[in-house]
This record gives sequence, C-alpha cells and structure tokens, in this order.
Amino acid sequence: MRGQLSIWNPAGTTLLLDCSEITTSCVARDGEHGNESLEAEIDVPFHIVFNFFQQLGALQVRANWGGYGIFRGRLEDPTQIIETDVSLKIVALGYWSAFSDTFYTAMWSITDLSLFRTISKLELFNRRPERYEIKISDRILIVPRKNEQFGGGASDLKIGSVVYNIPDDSTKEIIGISFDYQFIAPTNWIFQCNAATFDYATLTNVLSVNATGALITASVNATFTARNRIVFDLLYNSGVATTYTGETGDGAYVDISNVRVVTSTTNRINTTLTANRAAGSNVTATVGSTARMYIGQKLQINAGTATSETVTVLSIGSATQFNATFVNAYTTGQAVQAHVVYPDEIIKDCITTVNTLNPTQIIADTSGVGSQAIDLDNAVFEDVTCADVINDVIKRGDAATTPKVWIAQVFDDQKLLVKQLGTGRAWVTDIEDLQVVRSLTQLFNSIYAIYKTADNRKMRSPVSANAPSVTKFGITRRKGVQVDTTSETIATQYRDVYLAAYQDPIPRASVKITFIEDNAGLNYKLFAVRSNDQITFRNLPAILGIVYDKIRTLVIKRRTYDLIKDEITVDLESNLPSIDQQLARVLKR
Amino acid sequence: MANLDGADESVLIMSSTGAATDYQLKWGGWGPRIAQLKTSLLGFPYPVVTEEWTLNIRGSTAAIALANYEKLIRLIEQGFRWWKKREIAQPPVLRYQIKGSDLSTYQKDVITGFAREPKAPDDFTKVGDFYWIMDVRIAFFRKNGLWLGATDTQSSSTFTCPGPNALTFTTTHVKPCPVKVTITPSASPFSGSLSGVIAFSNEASHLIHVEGRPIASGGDLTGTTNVTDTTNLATNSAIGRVAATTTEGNFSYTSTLAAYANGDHVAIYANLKNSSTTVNVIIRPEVSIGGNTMVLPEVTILAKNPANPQVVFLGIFPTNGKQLDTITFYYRTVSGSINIDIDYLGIFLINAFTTIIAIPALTNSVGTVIDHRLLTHPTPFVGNASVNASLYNYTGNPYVFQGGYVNGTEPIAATDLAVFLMLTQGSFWRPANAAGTAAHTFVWSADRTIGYLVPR
Repeated sequence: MRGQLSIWNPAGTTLLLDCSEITTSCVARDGEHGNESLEAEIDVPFHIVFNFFQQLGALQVRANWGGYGIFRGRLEDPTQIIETDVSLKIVALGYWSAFSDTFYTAMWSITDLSLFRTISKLELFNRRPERYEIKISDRILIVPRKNEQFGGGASDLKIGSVVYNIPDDSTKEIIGISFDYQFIAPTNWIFQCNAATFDYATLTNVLSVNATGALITASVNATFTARNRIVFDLLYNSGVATTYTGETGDGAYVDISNVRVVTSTTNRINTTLTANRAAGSNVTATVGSTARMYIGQKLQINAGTATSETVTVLSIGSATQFNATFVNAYTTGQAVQAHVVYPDEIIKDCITTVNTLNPTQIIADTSGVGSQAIDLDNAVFEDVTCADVINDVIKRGDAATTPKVWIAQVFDDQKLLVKQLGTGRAWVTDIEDLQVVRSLTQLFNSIYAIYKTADNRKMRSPVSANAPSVTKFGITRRKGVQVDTTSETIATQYRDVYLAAYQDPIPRASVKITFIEDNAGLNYKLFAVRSNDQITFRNLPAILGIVYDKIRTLVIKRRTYDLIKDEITVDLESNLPSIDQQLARVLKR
Repeated sequence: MANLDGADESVLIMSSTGAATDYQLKWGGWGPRIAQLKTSLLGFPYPVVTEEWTLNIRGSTAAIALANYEKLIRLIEQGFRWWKKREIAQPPVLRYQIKGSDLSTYQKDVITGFAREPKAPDDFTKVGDFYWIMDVRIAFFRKNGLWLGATDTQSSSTFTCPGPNALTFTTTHVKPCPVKVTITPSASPFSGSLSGVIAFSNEASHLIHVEGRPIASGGDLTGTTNVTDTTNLATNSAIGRVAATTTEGNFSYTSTLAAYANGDHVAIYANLKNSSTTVNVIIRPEVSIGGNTMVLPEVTILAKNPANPQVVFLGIFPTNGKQLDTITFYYRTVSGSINIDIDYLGIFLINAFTTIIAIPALTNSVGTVIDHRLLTHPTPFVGNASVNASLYNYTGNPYVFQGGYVNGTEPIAATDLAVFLMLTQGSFWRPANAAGTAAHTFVWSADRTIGYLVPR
C-alpha cells in the first residue's frame, strides 16, 4: 500500500490536488499538540498554485497511508511560498492551530476578593458608600458609620453595596455562589445577596437576612438563574430615615468570607448526610458520595439555614465518608455542598467555541478530553486564545497519588485529546550507540508553591522535597512555582505535580534506532510513532539507577517523519514542556 | 520516440544497428538505467531515472541536420512542458525494444525534460550524401522508472456488494504493474450517490467479509444481536446490533483464517450506523495475536444522519505474518444511550499488493475509473469513466499489481486481482437497484499494463 499527499478545500470535502506523484520533499511533524506541521515541495505550475492557493482560504492538507492518517492540517496564507515558476513550497499547520483562531473571555470561578468593588451613588441612585466603612481584604466588611443617616424610602435607602462583575462579554454567566457571613445589626437592617444583570434591572435574590440584634453566623451555597453581577447589600429598610448612633463596627456590620463565585455547576458537590453528625473535632461524616471531594476543600453544611457552617475536609476515608471538624450538630438528609470547577469543563467549552466559529476545523466531539479532577478556584480568562486557555489549565496536572503533567493534542481526526503525558502508545526498540550528558540545571527536588490570599497577599506553601533525589544527587535545588489560587491546598497540588516532573532530570541523549516494535514484538511502520508515545530502549540495563531508568523509557515530544526518505527523528521529552529536549535519531527500518 | 504534441504528431526512430534513420545511437552510446525502488511513501513505487544518449544526427544538408537536432531537443523540452508546466495534453513517449526481444510490442516510458543542457554542435562530418552531427550527448529524465509493455484486460461477471470478486489475468508477471480499474453498474441503479471504501488485493482471501450479526458458521461478530433488516438491503438480510451506553460493552471477531500469515498489516473498516443525531459512540479495538494484546486508538462514530449507514475506518495494526486470534471492539458513549447497527466489517490484509481507496461520494449511474495514468498525465485519476477530467474526492492510491506473497519471500507470479466494494447508498447498506428493492449488481474490468524493470 502506498501513501498519499493531497490538498483539499478548507472543509475537507473536495479534493483539489493529489500530490502523491509530484511531491519532491515532504516532512510531517508531530509535536506537543499533536499534528504540528507538514512541509512539502510540490511540482506545480504557477497558474495552478494561483488557482489553488490564493482563492480558497485555509486549504486542508492530508498525508495518509491507506486509512491511517499521518498528518492533517491547514495551509495558512503566510506560509505559502512560490519558490520558482514550477514549484510550490507549502507549510501546513496541524489543527491545534485552530484553537488560536479566536480569543476567549470567560469567568469560571473566582475566590479572589480583590475583584470586588463598592457601588457608588452615580452607578445606582440609592447607594451611599460614603456612609459605610467598607473594607475588601481577605473578607468583605460593610459597617454603617456612627451618626450617619440611613433609610428613608425605597428611592433613597442609602445602601452600602459591594459588587463583582463578570468580564464584559464573558461567554459564561454566574450561576452559583458560596460564602460565610456574620451579621449583626438592630432590627430593620437587612443583609442581602443578589445576582443581577449588568444594568441591575433584573435581580435574583440569593439571600436576605433580617437583623435581630443578635449575631447571626451561617453559610450559603446557592445556585440561580444566570446573571452578570453578584451584589452584597447592607441596608436599613425603613421609609423613615434614621440616624445610626452606635459605634462604628460595634453592633452593626456584616462580615463576608470564603466567597466563591462560579459559572458552572457541572461538578458541584451536592450530596447529603446519610447519618446524624454531632459536633466534634476531626470526626467522620457519612454522606451519599465523596466524589470530587479533596483534602483541604471547604464544604458548606446545611447551607442557607441558621445552623449552617463551612467545614474543611481533613481526610477522605471512603467513597461515603470524610473527616472534618463540626461546630454544629447535623442530622440525616441535611445538605453537604461545594462548588467545584474542573479543567475539562473549560477545555470542552473551548472546543465548543472554536467549533461554533469554524465548524470545519475542530470537531465538536469532546469525548477525548479526560478529567484532571482538580478544582480551579480562580479561573478567569480575558482576551486570550483558546490555545492559551487550554495550555494554562492542563499545566495544573492532576491530583493523583503520583501527580502527572497533562497534554493536549489534535491529530488527523481533528479531535482534541487531553490526557496524561506519556499515555500514548508504547514502543520498544534497541539502540546502537548512546551519548549521555546529565545536567543538573533542570533538576529541582525541593519545591514550594507561590499563591495569594483572597486579598491578594502573596503566600508561600510549605516546601516539599523528594528525599531519594536529594540523596542521589547530593544537592538540594529549590524552586518556587506560581499558581493562580487562593487555596493552599490547590497550590500544594500543583507544587507536587511540579516536583514529580523535575525531581529526576533527564539526561540529554542521542541515540540511533533502526526499527519500532510494540510490546508484543510486532514491527510497525515508523510513522505510527506519534508524540506523547513512550519509547523504551530495551538493550539498556535497568539497574543503572533512577537517571538511567529515565533513559530506558522516555516520552516522545516531537516526531519528524520524512515521507520521501521514510525516516523519523524523535525528540525525547522531559516531563514538562519547558525542560530541554533530548534528541534521538531514528533511522529508517 | 513518439511526438504527440497536439497535431504535430511524428515519430523519431533511432537505431544503434546502422538502420536508415536520422538519429543513430552510437555503438555503446546508451543502455537503459535500471530504476531502484524508491524509499518514498508516496505515489508510484519507482522513481525518475536519468538517461544519457550519445548519438549521431544526420541530414542531407547541414541545415536539415541541425533541424533534426532541434526536433529532438523540442521533443524533450515538450516533456518538460508537460511535466512541469502542464502545457500540453500528452507527453513524449519513449518506446524501446531491444533486438531479440520476445515481446510483440514496444515498452514505454515518458520523458520529462533535460537532466542537463545539450549544446549546439561544434563541427559537422560529411559522409557520402549526408551531413552528420557527431557525438551528440542528450541527458534527460525518464519519469516512471518502469518500462510499460502490453496491456492485459479482464472483465468480471456481475456481482453484488461487497464481494470480494476476483478476476484472473492471462499472463503472470512478478514486477509491479499499474492497473487501470473500471467499475460499472450493470443495470439502472437507485438514484443517489454511493460512498465508502474500495479495496483491491491480489488475493480475494485477503479481503475478508465479516458479518455484523452472530451466525453459527463463523466469519461473524460475537456479542451482537441478530436483527432482520431487509428494507435497507443488509447483506444476508440481517445486521448485528449493540446498545451503547456509558458503560463499556464489547463485541468481538475471532479469526481462524491462516491467510493472515500473508499480510504484514491488517486494516479494519466497518459498515455501521449510529442511530442518533446527538450521541457519539467511541469504539476502541483491541487485537490479540499470539496471546499478546495491542490496544488501538479510539475512534469516534459521530452522530450524523441516524438513518444512513457509514463506512468507518476502525484501525490498522501489524501482524508481521502472524496468525490473528481475536479483535475485540469496546464501545461506549460519553453520555446517553444509542444502538449501533453493524452490517459487516471489511478486514483487509495489507501488504505491498493491497490498495484501499476511500471515496465519500461516487456517481452511481456510470462507471468509475481508478488509474495511475502513468503515460498520459502527471497525477492519478479517480473519476467518472465518461468524463475524463473530473476527479472524485478520494484518499488512497490507484492499484499496483505485483504478484503474490507467500510468507515473506520475494513476490511470486500471480494472476488474480480481487475487489471489495464496501459501499453504502443513502439509507441502504448496499447500493440498490432502480426500485430500491434489491442489492444492485456491478461488473468491473482491469487493464494491467505489464511493467519491466529491465526491458525485454
């Protein structure tokens, strides 16, 4: 069976040119994101070049061997170079590049309170922020000032308000919130939370609490119709204006903390207690399911009621039990809730966005997107490409026992695959010679995460070190890694991903290979090797230690296949994209 | 050498034997180069070769000798214009037959231009009544590498899809031979286009039809449910059905065929139907060979038109001549449930003598031609037999016949060529007759042009 190089219309429905017989050079590359590029020189007269390449937009280029797709991508105008009057040099990029066709703006989840602000009188006629002490730090405080006048009718209630707006033109709207509050004030004072449209014309009341003169402490976990703003109000609800004579901050305030605003409830935890739970420290709670719970996560218990609270997960004992410290006692059937946003939700939305804009570029099928199963508490994207969005969320890895880096790829089926690094097919080969240079510059065996609190204060997590690596190399190399979260738990998850990736440096290696087999010993065509596959050099001894074990089995970061010479070159990857690549030369079989 | 440039057709006859001709190859002035198999994955398996002649050109006057020289130059330039600039309809064809040949026809290849610039003569030699330009050196490209000889044409009897259906050539030959195939409906068909896959092999046993329904006699799938479907012309009036849900299920094919020893890869195609407009189905084949398991990449069966079957490529894997035991197909949905109906699988043993062409839309009322066009055009042709200029959309290459294959030995002489028409038509599992009541019949013919590496 022979191979074929062909050029199609942008939709891939009309064959314009079968180049198989007139191609003089052709190299197809797989990279970090699947089919990366194809470069070919084709004997095509100028007038045919003109007809095909100047009028029809981003034509599709395919290289295949029977039904096996070696490459599929699109010609992009700047890369079409007519070198002579009879030869055309084409450069096609794989369909991952379609994720750079549009910008993406969406808020998925925030816990960062620095994104909140007060509402002025100019913005809403009955707001009077100057009559309140309003502080937004790691919590939101709204406190009426002593000797200021409040109330006075619906048109002049003199409300103290704090608002969060989603980014303009966000493709997602707010549908969920959770927070804790402490509220005390004389009667007639009301604390409320509303979800509003951008013009405040339509409000959905999430919470409304009437003051009793006593301190009210509770937690909220709510969902509601999609809205653009979240507004916290403190107001004196009376048609008669009244002067507040108490001391500022003493006897009248609302204190809001642990705020999380989300635009997705796909992975929201919404279960119930299946056994009574008395108050206690580090006690076991039994629930319908602990799915999507993680240690360090904040759960709202019996949210929205007078005996609600937020607890922190201390341990997860089984699929139905977790441990936490409970201040209140609870009974069977009471709610256990938390908002959770996973990366795959965002990635799938990027697929939908790109497919809606250009249906012929990326197929709508999202079944190739695996779940990293990590919670993103701060995920706001404004005017960045979908490619950047996906790269941003996959770098967070996962929360597996041995954390893994994830990778996003698009091959010839134009379907996005998101999965763990190195989970492609496994190949085996022998090498004929080997040069190894080991470098410590990319070794980091002691990592801490840098994150921030809700009031934007930079924090540093505890350091995590890999003892075998420190012992092996006789040196500790420490590094801080940035992660966009206000949760130390989430920050340390990323720290552990990074440590697992960097604790053993991969030597720079140059190897020659003459064939590719699978684990069953069957010979494959060389082009069957793709990026993110693993390759094992079986004639290297496994007993050489950690470093040399990493030489025996490596992940292929880039594969270059020359369709004319029937040769492949593979770059063998370190565990993170930023680590220096290793180069191995694979000769044709 | 035949000049077929428009109406200016002529023939330049050359000889190295002293025969009366204006172009006389010098004794020892040329022997054809033997092409080597190219490493390239693409196109015809032999590369362009460079030929170099040393010849004497004559004329009754010096001017006529120069004109004859120029005529030769123009011919070779014509090859360049045909190949590189696509200016003319047909290329100059180089015909060659050695003295003592046992062939009744010339062997042919086409010329695609100069390999080096020729130079004008620096002297004349006058012998008798003629002026001779002596020791002219002409270096040019010969496109196909292979010398193409006589054509052996065979036609099949009528058959219904998918086949396989085989025909037998009258001659044996072990070297690559391009084959022009014409597939024609044998009677008035149902309206609407056909789509699917056409596979060729020199062994009908390498094109395996596996029933989607479970049957007692083997050659079927296990794990599907037998459902009668005569309305849509399912093969054997029934299909196999599985209910796909988010929980992974599986069906399998167990092979007992020794023929797998004669392929180095196996490709799996399925004629199936996703009965949903919204629920995609994921299929993941796992292959067992000698107790070892290979996991093939997942394939998504997209929800499109729920009434129409589609021919889907499920994967390709090497066997290296080993016996295939089982292919297990794991299936699931991401969300929701839907039936997957399978009429049959096409399992193709792949070696150098197999070709698979996928065609999304094929005219059903006229013949389809699949042709390398090595002596007439720079690129292959897959199209409507009655309109030579139109292309169909296709992936794959025209067929090259290369004799048989037995356990990794060199190719052996063989005469059979088989076709497998894995085609659907609208809601029909197979192309339908005019009334839409029965599977339509086809005939096909193959023109095998004998190829010679060493001219005879």
